[in-house]
Amino acid sequence: MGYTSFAYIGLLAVTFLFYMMLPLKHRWKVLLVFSYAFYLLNSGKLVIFILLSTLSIYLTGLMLNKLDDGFAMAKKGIPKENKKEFKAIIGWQKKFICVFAVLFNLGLLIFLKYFNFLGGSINGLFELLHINVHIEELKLVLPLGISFYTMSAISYVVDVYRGKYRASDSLGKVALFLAFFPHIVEGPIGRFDLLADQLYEGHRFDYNNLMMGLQLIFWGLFKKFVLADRANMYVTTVFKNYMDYGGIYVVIAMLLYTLQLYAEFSGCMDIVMGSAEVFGIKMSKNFERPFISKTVSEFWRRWHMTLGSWFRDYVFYSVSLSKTFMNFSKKVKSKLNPYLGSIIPAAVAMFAVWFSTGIWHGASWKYVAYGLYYYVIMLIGMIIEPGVVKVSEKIHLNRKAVGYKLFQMIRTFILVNIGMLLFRADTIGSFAHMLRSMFRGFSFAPLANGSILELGCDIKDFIVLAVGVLILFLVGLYEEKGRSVRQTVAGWNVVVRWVCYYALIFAVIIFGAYGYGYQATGFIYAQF
Amino acid sequence: MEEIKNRKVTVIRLIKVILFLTGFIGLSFLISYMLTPKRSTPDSGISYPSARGFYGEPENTIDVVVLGNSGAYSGFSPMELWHNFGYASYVSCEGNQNLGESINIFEEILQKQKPKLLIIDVDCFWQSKNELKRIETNVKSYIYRYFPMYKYHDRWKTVRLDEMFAKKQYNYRTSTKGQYLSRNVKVPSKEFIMEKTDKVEKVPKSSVAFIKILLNKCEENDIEVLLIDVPAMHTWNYEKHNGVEEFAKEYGLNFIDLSLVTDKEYAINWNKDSRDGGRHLNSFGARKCTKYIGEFIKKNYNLEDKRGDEAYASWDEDYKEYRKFMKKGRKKASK
Repeated sequence: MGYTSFAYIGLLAVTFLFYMMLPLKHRWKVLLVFSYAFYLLNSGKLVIFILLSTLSIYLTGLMLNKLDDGFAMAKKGIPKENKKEFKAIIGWQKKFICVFAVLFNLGLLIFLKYFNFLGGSINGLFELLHINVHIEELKLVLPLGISFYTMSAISYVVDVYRGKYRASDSLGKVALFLAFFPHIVEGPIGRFDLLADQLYEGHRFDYNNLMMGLQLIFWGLFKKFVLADRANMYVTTVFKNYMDYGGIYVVIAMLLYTLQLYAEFSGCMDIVMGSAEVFGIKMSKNFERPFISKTVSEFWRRWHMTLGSWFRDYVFYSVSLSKTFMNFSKKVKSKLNPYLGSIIPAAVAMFAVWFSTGIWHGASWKYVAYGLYYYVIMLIGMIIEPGVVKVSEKIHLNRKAVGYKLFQMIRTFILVNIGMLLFRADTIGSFAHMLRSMFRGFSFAPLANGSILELGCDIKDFIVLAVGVLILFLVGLYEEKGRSVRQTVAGWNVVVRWVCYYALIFAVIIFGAYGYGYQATGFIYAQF
Repeated sequence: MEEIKNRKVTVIRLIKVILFLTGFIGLSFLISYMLTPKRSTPDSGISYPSARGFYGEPENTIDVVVLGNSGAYSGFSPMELWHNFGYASYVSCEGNQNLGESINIFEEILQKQKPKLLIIDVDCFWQSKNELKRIETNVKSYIYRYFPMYKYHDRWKTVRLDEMFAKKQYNYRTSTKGQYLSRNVKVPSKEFIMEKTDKVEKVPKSSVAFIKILLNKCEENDIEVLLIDVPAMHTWNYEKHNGVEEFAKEYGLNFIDLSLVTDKEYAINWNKDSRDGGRHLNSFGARKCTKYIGEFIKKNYNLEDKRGDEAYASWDEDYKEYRKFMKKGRKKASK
């Protein structure tokens, strides 16, 4: 049951009706029941895995609470000189429980998602070393949303361990936090402190929330059906037969794939956030106009934001604030010059983040390469930055000028597109082939003679895509100035407003790439 | 005072919602009309024009209608039924036709024809991979019936301004009467054995609900119903056979499972009678099935033999064309 299916819309409507019918304090139960119904309908028996994760983090939370409470009670009666020792013992116990819970959840994910990948890689290594051992491939099925809810589960345990908030003593609340049906498939990766109370407290019917939520859902459907699925027709043709194409064919395929992924993923987030908004629940943003970024680091702060912030909080900080790493960092700084002393520790911590980001996207070396591609770019950026500053000063280049900013945006856009090419290509080899083929015999002739229109998108499809991109661009431009298009439209007089709403709804119905003659396409991120 | 104000706001909002929805429905009807093809020819953009060729037949001349998916439009031959038994039949099947679509096209047929027998290929009872998907696709088909813009939305690319508001003129006629003709032979990669079992795969509940709608329509119009299964290696098995047999018994319907026919004259030879390796029959397989069904109709239903009737002279001409096609024989088998 995808977020664009009639079944999902039906489920959302029924959930909403039941939610509004029950007394406020019981409304969270409706969300829980329908979230599990959604999960069961999609994943059947595999619901056991999310139940295990829920139970593990719930119990871990309770144990951590108990240790904290025990310490708080006991410390009053302990002599000052023993307090430190007692705190250390409690600290170790907490760490042990937390690590165990993290490893348990991570273990489930690694086993189900990466076992065959790791097995295959080890087999390859054994073959190279002529060792006659072979790890058999297992038939494993991934439970719905495991990559997303595992992240939420780990964040809950680690936050409680770090003392950010107390663990919940309500199993239902923890279960709903993990399984809430709008965010279970593709995120945004929820944080307990931001989401759980909103889910748990009953929200009254609010006409504005309902209308705003529905608008956001239609905006998401527009992005998915009109832009992403239409771009997909060209993208699939070229990527499937990449050996047959080069030059401008591949350049356009790469640009259209970037559009497809952005429109589809951000569109899905709009549907998800709109679904939550009808209940009065505000979820974390996952996109903030990523294509106006001036650097790739900025791009990743604006693209899949909840993933980026998760890796920052639970990988980068965990590595960079660990004792071992601090000692290493100190040593490097004392033995090398300040320049290298700051770059080397950062490079080590960043490697952990980008390796994890890459492999999170999928169990293949291609995704590892995808993560490391951004790592290398950021590292190069860090290394050359002092040099660039010096040269700029010497040649009197104003780095704050509009022209320079535009150059930075275009540069980042090109780098991101190359990353997208790697992301979409079947293997690293096919990516390399496609990248090379872009420059081989590049010519604008296919545009002039119309042969570009024979790969799945005709001229009318390209016009729809161009208009759609223009609309996205204008909306993005407007919102970048801190204004909200939805709020602005809501303030217009009823006739103009309704014309806008009808235009959006009928644009989805008429110009959407769905139904007879179109291949139904699921959400790309739902596979992760 | 506050309460009265709140009530007023609620009433205004409710009126607004109703007006907005009314506007949406009105525009949906308008756009649906604008995008719906106004002719039923293959180049008009209409879906499955050959399934809608009954529009081109004179009114109330079709006695037997076949509904189902690609299995049935490949495996039933109206021309064979005409030549051997004199029954005028039409195959209104579409690729992946679900029961919702069967109901839609049956409604269309009833506006133009008065069939006496409805044949349903039971393969469409299991259309879609699970019950939820089945409900969704069937409900969608119902929505398409009232708002064809969802089905024909892509016609914005081709529709001309003058066509948008033109009157519908459906009169396309095809000599194949909806059958998909094929002389291709592709031998299946494995053998098809219907292993007998007592296990029952019940007809899905959602399908039962839609079949009941069809059965009610038949009852209202005095149309008898015959269930058939056209042999298809990839979708059919004995559990499903048992399920349909139970269902047929419960509703007092006849059921012919052509996969179980062993008589040499009618039994399917998978090395010769499939056009695509066991998924669909070719026209030679269809000939066998149709002859068997014809015999069954002759014995069990009281249909009139229309051969020699002047009103059906064109059917003899159509048969000649069909005969010419069949005379070329099977194409060389591929594996």
